[in-house]
Amino acid sequence: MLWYKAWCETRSRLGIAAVAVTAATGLVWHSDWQARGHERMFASYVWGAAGNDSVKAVFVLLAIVLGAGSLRQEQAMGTAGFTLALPVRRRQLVIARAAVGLCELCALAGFIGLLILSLSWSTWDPGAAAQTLRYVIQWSVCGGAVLALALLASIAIPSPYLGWLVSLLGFFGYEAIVGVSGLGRYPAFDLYRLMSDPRAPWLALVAVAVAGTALVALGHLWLRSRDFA
Amino acid sequence: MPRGLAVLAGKAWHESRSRFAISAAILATLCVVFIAFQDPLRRLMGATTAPANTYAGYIYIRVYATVGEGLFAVLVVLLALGGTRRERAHGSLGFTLALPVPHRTHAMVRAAVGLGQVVALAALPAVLVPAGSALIGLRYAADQAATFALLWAAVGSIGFAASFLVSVIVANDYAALAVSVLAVRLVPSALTRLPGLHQLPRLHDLMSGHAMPYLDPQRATLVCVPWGVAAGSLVVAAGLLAVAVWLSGRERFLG
Repeated sequence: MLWYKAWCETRSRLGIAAVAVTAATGLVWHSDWQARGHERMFASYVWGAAGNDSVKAVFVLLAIVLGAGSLRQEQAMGTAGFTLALPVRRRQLVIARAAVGLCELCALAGFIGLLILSLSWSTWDPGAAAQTLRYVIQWSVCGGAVLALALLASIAIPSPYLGWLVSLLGFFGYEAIVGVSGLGRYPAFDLYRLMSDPRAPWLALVAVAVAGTALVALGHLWLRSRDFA
Repeated sequence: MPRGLAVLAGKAWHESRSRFAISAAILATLCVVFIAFQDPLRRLMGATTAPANTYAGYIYIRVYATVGEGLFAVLVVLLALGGTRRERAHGSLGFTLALPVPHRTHAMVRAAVGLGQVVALAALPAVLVPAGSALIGLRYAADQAATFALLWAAVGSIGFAASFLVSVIVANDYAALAVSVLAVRLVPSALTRLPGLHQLPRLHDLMSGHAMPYLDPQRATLVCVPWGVAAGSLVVAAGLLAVAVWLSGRERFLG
């Protein structure tokens, strides 16, 4: 039931997200790759480090949009009472919301992967599928951490717009600090680079997944102590 | 100003002032950080060629061409969101509709207040950059900052107007936010790929002057005041806002 509730609340966003990533991938395909005269396979080109910035930036924006929304916003809309009347713990609400968001994000990353493979059908080779799967995992894990940050912000901030803004600036501010401080030497710290790291550093991905889980746990602690009377 | 309009303007201001205040604070902080820490940040850039190795070039790259400009583009989108569609979703629409003014007046006043905020936000670097530079013993030409403010305000109003139009059509907060941000980011790029429109400049390029005849790339300075770009941008923004106000006036809120 909670999963269905979370799905109903976010499905329109997922639809918009699917359209957006299709448009972003299509733009990359239509412009740069065609202009380069097909010298590289499309999958390699898009998943490679440089050319996929527009798709990656759109994916991060969408992860923040998919992660936003919690009891705090429901309180602002006057529907929190109905949710709180459900015979479930707040922990279950947070977990269901985070899990549905993560599933949607994985589906979105998988959709991008399928899209890129479909667009590169003419230059198909088995290596592209393996590479795509690896990048889908990387994007899902890193996007999951961004989603957890957005969920935490939406628990802390009642206004949806401000929550989104704080999440966005929090992410890019963090990336700027990582870049300036030299922490970018360690793959686990630089999420943006980790998403397109061709080496697939599994240990770093595990660390990012743990950090994302910690953010959700922090959100739960915040929500648990809040009085909605 | 008639009292009714003043009341509506006050309402629009109250609804968006926290967003505006946070946006202004973030943009101001960014400018101050780039100026106060210009020495280590320029060292980190490691630029050896013009214009990046000059102070004016550094300010252009950091504030007017990349980080500051990108942030401004997102903030103006955020300032435009809200409106009667959102109020219906929040259950507060009845109070607004009880006010004795036509629907389109609500939208017009909200657009006017939002545009005022966009102008104020665009003017912020124009004040902070020359003043902050003077405080640390460097110089950034005030006329350059003012011209960039004009570009930001005019071109930014297109992003604002596009987002405003979305807010009139889409009721859900997050859906409107997603559509607005993605539309402002993707649609201009998509338009330039259409046959016959490939020479259409991107909003980002118009705001920063990148690859535009009014920017001297060697010195990273504007060589003239691009009145044509400003006027054209305002016409496009006015067109989008007119459509939004027209749609808002046609809306029926029964049921």
